[in-house]
Amino acid sequence: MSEVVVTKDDQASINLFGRLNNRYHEASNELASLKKKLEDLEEASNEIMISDEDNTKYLLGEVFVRVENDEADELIDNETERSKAEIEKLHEEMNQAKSKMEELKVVLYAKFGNNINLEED
Amino acid sequence: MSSTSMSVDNPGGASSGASSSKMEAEYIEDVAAYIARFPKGTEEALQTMQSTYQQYKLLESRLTQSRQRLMMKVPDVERTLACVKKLVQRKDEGSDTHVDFELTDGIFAKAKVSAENAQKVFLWLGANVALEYTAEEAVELLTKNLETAKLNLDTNRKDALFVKDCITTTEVSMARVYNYDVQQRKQKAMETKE
Repeated sequence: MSEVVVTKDDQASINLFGRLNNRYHEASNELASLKKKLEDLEEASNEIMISDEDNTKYLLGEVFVRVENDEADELIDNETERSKAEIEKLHEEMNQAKSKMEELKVVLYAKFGNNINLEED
Repeated sequence: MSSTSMSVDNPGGASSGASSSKMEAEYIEDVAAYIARFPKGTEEALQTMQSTYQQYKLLESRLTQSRQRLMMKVPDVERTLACVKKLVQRKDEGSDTHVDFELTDGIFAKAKVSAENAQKVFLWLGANVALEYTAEEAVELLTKNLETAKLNLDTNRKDALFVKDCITTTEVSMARVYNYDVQQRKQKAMETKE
């Protein structure tokens, strides 16, 4: 094993890589649950469309509130918009983390070769 | 650390104040010099690092727990807020609110909240206490709580990143000390052969 000196900068790069990797995984978990939410919202919206009733019971907090269908649609649309924006943000964040990790990989592998492992287990 | 949380239920976000420079993991400039600090040499150095490492790990798991609590709390407050806001809206329109509420598991009852009854709401403060607020005050309080929870989440995230750095640094340092020791032994073995 050759002697490779770990400089303070190298340490900082390794730390950054660790942070990004963490964040990437967190974001992908958040993404999964948001996508599920989006599906549920879409389903709810479809159900209202085919419903014969004028009113819908919308779960707000812990109670079902009786609302007009139009109002329920509006509530669902708001939620959908919010989720979509959030998903977009997460996608962007993940892409940034990923490309930065790739950059760091190039640098760190060039210096440490097989002495460092930056792959997923 | 932000501990000003005035929350409807258990604050749960009390940050542990991790980001103090006092406990930051030390980057080792010179491995040999670092080991020389310990009277018993490498073994003691590694043991010390190991115990620091355990402390960081413990801190990390505490932060993760508190983050999970906060992540549950934020949507919880959001839901309550949405509910109160709807009530305020109905009240301002002068219309009644019809709700189905859960009496007990799986049993729902109908209720009508008249516009005048919607003037006041009770917020659960925890410890079996609920306090009466005007609807507007409740919105204000809940909004503030939401902000505090989000702020705490943010602090928690920063603390976690800090601890993550400490963990990574310590891991690398332990490997470096260990490798250095192996190298030294090899060199010694070579010298004795000659």
